Amino acid sequence: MTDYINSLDEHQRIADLRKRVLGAFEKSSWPKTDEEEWRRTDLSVFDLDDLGTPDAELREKTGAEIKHGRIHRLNDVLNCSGELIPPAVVDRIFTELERMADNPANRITLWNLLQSEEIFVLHVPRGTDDKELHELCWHSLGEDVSRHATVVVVAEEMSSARIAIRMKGMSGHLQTMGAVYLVDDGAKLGVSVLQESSDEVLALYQAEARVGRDARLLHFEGILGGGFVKNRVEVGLAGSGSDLVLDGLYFTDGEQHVDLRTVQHHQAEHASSRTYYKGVMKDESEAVFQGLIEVNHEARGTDAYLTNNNLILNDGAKADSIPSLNIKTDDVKCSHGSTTGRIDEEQIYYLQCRGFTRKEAEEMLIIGFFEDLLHNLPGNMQDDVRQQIHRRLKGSF
Amino acid sequence: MGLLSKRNKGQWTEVADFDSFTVSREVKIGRHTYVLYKLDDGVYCTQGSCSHEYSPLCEGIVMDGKVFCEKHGSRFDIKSGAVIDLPATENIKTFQTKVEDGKVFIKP
Amino acid sequence: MSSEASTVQIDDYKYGFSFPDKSVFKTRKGLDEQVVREISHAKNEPEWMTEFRLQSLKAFREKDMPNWGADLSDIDFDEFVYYAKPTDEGQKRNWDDVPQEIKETYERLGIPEAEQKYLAGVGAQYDSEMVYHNIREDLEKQGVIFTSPEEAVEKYPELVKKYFGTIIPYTDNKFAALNSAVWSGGSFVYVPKGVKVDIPIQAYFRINSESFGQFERTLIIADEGSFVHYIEGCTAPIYSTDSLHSAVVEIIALEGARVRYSTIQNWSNDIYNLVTKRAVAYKNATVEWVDGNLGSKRTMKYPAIHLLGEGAHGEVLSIAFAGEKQEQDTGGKIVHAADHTSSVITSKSISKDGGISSYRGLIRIQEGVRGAKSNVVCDALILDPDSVSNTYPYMEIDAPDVSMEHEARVSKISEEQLFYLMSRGFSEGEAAMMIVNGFLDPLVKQLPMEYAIELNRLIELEMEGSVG
Repeated sequence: MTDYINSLDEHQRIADLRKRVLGAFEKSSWPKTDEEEWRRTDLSVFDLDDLGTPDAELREKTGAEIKHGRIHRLNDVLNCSGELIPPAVVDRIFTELERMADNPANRITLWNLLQSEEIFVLHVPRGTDDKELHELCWHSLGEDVSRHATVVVVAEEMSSARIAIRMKGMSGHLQTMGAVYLVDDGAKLGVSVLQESSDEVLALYQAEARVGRDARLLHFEGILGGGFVKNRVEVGLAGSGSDLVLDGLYFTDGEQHVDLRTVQHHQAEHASSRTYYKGVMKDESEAVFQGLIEVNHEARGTDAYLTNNNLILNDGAKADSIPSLNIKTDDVKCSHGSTTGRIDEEQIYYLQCRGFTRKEAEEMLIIGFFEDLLHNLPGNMQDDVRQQIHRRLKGSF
Repeated sequence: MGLLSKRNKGQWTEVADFDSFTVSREVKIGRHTYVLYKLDDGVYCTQGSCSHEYSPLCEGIVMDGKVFCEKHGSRFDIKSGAVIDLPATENIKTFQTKVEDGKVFIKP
Repeated sequence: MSSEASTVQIDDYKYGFSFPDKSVFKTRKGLDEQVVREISHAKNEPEWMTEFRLQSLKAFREKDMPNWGADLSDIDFDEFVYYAKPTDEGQKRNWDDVPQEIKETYERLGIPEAEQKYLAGVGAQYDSEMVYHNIREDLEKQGVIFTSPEEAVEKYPELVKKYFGTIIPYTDNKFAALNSAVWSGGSFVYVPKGVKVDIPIQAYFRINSESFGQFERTLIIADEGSFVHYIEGCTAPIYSTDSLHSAVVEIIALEGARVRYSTIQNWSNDIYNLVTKRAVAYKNATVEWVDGNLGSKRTMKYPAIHLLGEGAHGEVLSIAFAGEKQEQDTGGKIVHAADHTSSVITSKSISKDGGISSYRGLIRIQEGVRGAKSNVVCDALILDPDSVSNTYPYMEIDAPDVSMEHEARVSKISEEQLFYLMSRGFSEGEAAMMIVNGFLDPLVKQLPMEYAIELNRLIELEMEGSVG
């Protein structure tokens, strides 16, 4: 492990951070199925300890790329001493990474910090309104190795920005992405994450976010690939009047296993949040959605919703839906709903009467089922999602 | 073998040495787990976890061709997969096995 | 002459009185093989039952405490007395034969009166033993059995052996194992083919001893096309030490049968109430659990129905009221294991004065099942900022041809409703009470009238002086 870290050849501050993480990582253990969140996703079937690390060439050729915008590598930021991102912001980023190291969601947080090939940072200065989309894309590759990357976004007061993160891994390896989104008072941040890896890839995405006073975070995740996917998105509504939208879409087929966890944690007064996840399961795939609304005692005037809708297309496919509420005060409006069923035969019949084949009708209804989640996506991503679903439905039924 | 080595459906797949266990053991193909059992008349294979609450069946007691789930005491017929005792209400899946040259193969 | 009952004045718990402990036999505190053998011996049981108890004790020791749900960390299993026999005289069929003090207890609870008026049969358990069991003569003539499980072991060993411990095996969970090891009392009900018991039968459970564990065991077998409504009520005196109530209830509804099981749980707030209840419903059978939890310190109870036959239907109606220092962790579980099965879970919970109420439920639709339908609705009301409400629904859907719908809402009493009622001349307390009644109304309607009235009254007591 130390050899690998040394081989990354980084600025001393990052190396020091890794040292801090190493001790905690060694003391921790992999999530086990006796923990509620991991009961349905058993990591012990993989020999995670035996996975290799990517060599310099693999890292060079198949590392994550900055496609658009002002995303930087933290190492470059440190080596350019204050030119790319102000030192105070860099300090804040380290404080945040250290906080994660000291209070990790689980061992994967530590693993990711310890081995991240790159730590990407996006700084949106106070008051700026970025029209351009910031975009990161990762064509990770490798056999029996684990690949890791981290993203930290700091959206300062009254700023506005959008970032897209696309994971397109191939061949049998494990890929983790750790993310932190800090949305300061009055800021607006949109995050769109698309998992489009091939079905040999084991993919883990873990995001933490904090939303300030009157700030707004819109986080979308779309799961269209990855053989074995476990994501968690945990957002603290830390400032009064903050607003959160968590959207999610998953289309699973083959033998895919997808487990998505969301937490909308109300810590301040008069905040609102809405989680809206929709899934379609095909072939022998299985999907788990575990959503939680947590309302602290102080969070009076909370308005929170959580919805999960699933369509199961055939025998053999499975869907677990677990929307939970933990409410510790009375002045709340909280609700959740969940439905699972199959495509409405009457609607298929209706479309068939209009001259569509059954297959066409089913595809139209599936795309239609997801449609209200696509509106918030950047334009090209909307089309990509539709096309991918089209491609994966081809030759089925 | 990659992390998520594909399950070749209906293809014989080598999973263990015949001598690697006496009563039962767990084997893995990709993300799927299976349990092998040695009964009087040969080797049998079922899905890896109980149909009730995910507990691994390799930890269960095997008696008279039946396996007891450690966690809540559900019992299954190893050869047919049929559930015998509550709390489980769903049969477990069984898979064909063969032994060749001291190796156990299953057809997942 | 009647002896003086000492009434402990805590809140308005009207069942908080106790009589001096006059048990004729008690096991010592704590639990080991010796204690289990003593219980079995006191009941003069056949060897197979003693063996069952000892196996269960082993399972109890091996099993972990649940690592979820209510906080059970302060339970000390060594501090309880596991068996207390209140009288040497056995189970009576004539109320006048029941020992005076015990009789007085039940008279204060209104039991014999209710029997004459509304019930087809009554059983009464005092600490570990059933002291009274009676059933209407005409039903008995039709072959309806309503007695203690001890008597059933003796008189109907074949029926008992066929079903006892098959729905809830002793390996099921730590508390089912404990009950299986030390069970005592409860009811055994058998309703023959086609017999419909038109008015409810009731069992009443009373704990009188201090630091005591009550472990009744109920087995209800409804043969093809039969119907029975079984009601249980529970109370206990208030002591300074905790007691434990850990029952096991198994129900078998054979083809076309219908069983309704209603509980008004009103244990005093020093009782841990950790109960396993499960039913199986065969072809076109219906099982309904009506589960009202108002009392106890901490309750963990999730009545379950396994729909094993085509067309079977299951319903759970759950009401929970968690007041000061109380935790109600309740809900329901339904497993759809056959085609065209349907289920409904309706949960209403109220949290008040720092109480915690949690709904925990499971709907599972197994692979290969066609045409299953399930609907779950959870409503929670939080009456003040210090109280807590949790909702943990689990839906495991392994088949495409299903309709599964779940919704949950958490809210407080709305200011507008209060304002409206107060503008009509009601006091704030009255207005709040009316809103709570309206909230519970759909469930209360499911109860026979006298129980609905009782429940309303209990809630009124819980609500007294609350809203301000």
